Amino acid sequence: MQALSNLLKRDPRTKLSITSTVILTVLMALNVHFFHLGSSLQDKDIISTIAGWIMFLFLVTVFFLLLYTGNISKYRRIFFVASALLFFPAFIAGMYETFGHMYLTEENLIENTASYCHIVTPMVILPYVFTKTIIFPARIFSSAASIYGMLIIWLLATLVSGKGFCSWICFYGGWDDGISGIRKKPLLKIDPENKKIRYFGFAMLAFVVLASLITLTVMYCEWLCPFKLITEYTQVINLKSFIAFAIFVLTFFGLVVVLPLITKKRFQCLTFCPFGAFQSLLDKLSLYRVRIDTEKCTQCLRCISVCPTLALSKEIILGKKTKPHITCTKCGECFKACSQGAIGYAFAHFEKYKKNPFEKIISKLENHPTLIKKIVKKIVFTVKELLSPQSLFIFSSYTLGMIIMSAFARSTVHRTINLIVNGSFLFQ
Amino acid sequence: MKTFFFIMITIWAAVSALLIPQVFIHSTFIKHQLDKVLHLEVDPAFSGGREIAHFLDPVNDDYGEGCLSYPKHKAYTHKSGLLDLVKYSVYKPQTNARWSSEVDYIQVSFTFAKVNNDLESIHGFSHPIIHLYLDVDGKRGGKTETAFSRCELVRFDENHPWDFLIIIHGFHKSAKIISDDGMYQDRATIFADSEKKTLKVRIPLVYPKLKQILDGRNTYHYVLVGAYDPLSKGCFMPVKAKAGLKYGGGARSALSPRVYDYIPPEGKDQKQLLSSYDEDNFTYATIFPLEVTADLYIKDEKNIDPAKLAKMKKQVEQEAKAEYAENIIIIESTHSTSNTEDIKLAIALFNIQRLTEAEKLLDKILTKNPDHAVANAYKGVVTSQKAQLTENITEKIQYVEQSFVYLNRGAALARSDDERINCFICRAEVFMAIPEDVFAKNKNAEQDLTAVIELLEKQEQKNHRMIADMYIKLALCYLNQAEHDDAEIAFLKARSQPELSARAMLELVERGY
Repeated sequence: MQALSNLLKRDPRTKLSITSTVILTVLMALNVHFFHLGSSLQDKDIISTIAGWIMFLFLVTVFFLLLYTGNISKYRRIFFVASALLFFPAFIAGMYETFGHMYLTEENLIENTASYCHIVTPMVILPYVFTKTIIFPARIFSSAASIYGMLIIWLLATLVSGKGFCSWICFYGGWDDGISGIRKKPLLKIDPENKKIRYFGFAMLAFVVLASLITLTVMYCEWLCPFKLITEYTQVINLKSFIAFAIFVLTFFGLVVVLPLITKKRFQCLTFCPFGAFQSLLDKLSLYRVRIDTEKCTQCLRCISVCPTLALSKEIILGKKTKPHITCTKCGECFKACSQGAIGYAFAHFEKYKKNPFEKIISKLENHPTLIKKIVKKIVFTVKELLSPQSLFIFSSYTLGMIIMSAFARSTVHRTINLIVNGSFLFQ
Repeated sequence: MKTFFFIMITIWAAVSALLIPQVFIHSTFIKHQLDKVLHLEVDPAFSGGREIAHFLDPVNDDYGEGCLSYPKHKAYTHKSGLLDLVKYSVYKPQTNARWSSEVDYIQVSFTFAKVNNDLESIHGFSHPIIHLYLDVDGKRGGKTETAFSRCELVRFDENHPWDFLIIIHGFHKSAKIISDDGMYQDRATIFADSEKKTLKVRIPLVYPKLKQILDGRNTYHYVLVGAYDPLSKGCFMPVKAKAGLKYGGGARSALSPRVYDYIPPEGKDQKQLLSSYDEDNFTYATIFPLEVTADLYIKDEKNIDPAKLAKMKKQVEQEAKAEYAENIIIIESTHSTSNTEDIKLAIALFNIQRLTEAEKLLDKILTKNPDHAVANAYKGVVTSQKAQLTENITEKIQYVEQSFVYLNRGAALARSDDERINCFICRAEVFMAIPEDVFAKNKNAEQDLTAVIELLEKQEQKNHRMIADMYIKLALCYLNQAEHDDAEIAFLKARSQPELSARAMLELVERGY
């Protein structure tokens, strides 16, 4: 009972009314139904249908709780970590079913069948400008893992979520986000003012982009990517490929497991991922920002210590600045830490817009106690909530993350049930 | 002003939030629109370099000098196309290659009409052996006789004696390279893709004479395909007048080349060249090479005569009118008396897009007989077309789901070949029409179309027009999956049909076939 009450405990600073929550959840349920349940319903396989329903119920419930309780950081993390954990088993199983192993052979490269990954994007742009070709052996069309497929996802995610990609959509980010949230207190404290750590990701981005341009190879992907270990890597056939494999092991355990665990910071995303830094630079294109209401802020600095990407510092809070640093991934950790509710989502180009047109209408209706006025007030309040930057950002980012997840999450659940029932994780 | 801007950005944010799923639903369309602007292409270095030349060979010409037949061995019986080379490609030589075990190499590829691995070869290609003779220095050196005596039974153009022979078959991990003096021997890496029926061979450019290819001069290629026989000279299976277990048949002479397929240069004919042996003087048939111009990048130039194209379009229009008229006649002359008449009428109505009437009839048939396979299949297509007419996502998915139920039911209930053909075509059409990124059904469409083609090929009185149409649909299905090589072969197979509809002809001509 206590657990349930904790689960449903509402945060008055960020919660939505039940009406708005239900409306948005119904809309999200339609989307989830289409992307997660659609193809499993036509499947005659009962296990596939069960897997579809499990995903449907999970995603709709998490979304409902996210809005209803207003506990953005908690439910976002559940959703985000689930995305990461459900991604790799289906991906690896798919590799085994297609190729019989999880490494890329020369044949895969010849046939351009490597899966295109969003992290590659910043590395292929400059070589494309100079050579008019993409320096990655993936399919141009076809599935979501094709070059155009990922390009569409990236463009859409950039416009809608911007840097929020790193906390809502990326199916790798859930690893260090989840691991960084395991311990209550860090074993190793990272100074939030440490600019070297905060901006190391940009140096990394510059390095891999230039190196890729000079060598015309996707440097990060070939040599450094920690997630190669749980996706696909080139076959170990010589010393070069062995060294690359050893680096993959080291970067995965070092940057994705150990450092996030002991520092409670998203170390890999912050310091190593070139795509994360790239999204930080492109965040200006997105519709939403995190804003600090300096009038409400009491400068308690609690938000600084909880930020997993060092996006808040004394310089920001004590300097009464309204914008966090560009490493902010819009994850919502600071919303929870702020007792004053001084941090929240806002539209781009607007600080906290005080003279919100809806507020004006609501205040006009304030002094009219008749039933109709109350109903009108309720409607206006609901519309205001539905169209608030918080609702729209969460709805958009969750939708995108959910769609990306649909490509593999149901498959993992399906395979897991199959493993329990039929004793095999693989279908072939 | 600020209020107005705030309202605008709110509306924009709300609209974009609601439209995200639409972007994914229409992603195939968006990808193609993006492609029109960006023309993205993967660095050809990964796949062995840019194709600098390709040579297409007619389908079903694996008869050597004109009448060779396959051996009687069970691995060959009731199979055709196993020795039928349909495409030979040469790629731009690569230096300091990335992501490759070879440093400098030139890649060539061979595509066959059919592949079978009855004899369990390493690469999945059990039947053919390819001898690729290369002349890398023009007239200066080389041989005009074959590398092994009494092997292919041909001789080479005196102006282009060969310098290197590359022996390729499915039973060795790599291909063997032999120089004209028999001294130099090296290995070329073979990459086989039996699904695409293609063998890619990377010839390392290490030997100084072979390295001349990098100088950018023209090279000359003789591509000879025989039946693999490990016990024969040069592994080319002999041919005799009558086929036996260990030799092919149809040879007109003891000098008949043991070559089942050969790609002649433009303007020359395979049958003519392979039968140019002289029994009186005991000389073998002389063959000529394909010329490959280095650095030339041939991107499918489609020099289509506009007048010819306009004429063909007119023919397509006429064909469509004739089909329309035919359907009207069926509608007017058919009376709804039985399910057989009703389904005929419903199909005719469907063909001229009178969907509501067609659906009513189909419903009537299905009320009487819910297990009517063809009615189920057409009901599926009609239902799926409703999905295209609505903008509501939920309705769209409901229609598509409903259509799948009918289509799958129709396909499962089909008993006769005709019913199967109808039901599979209906299902394939729907699978190809729905967004690939959401439903991923092109692979299933491919299976249905392949099944339809097999059924059509099996019929005693072959409907060549329909077979060609199916091959074109199959090719388009491959293109949707970015399987360009398979698509090319399917187009070639459509082209090889003796009779084609005007629509099919136009499609092929517009695509440069």
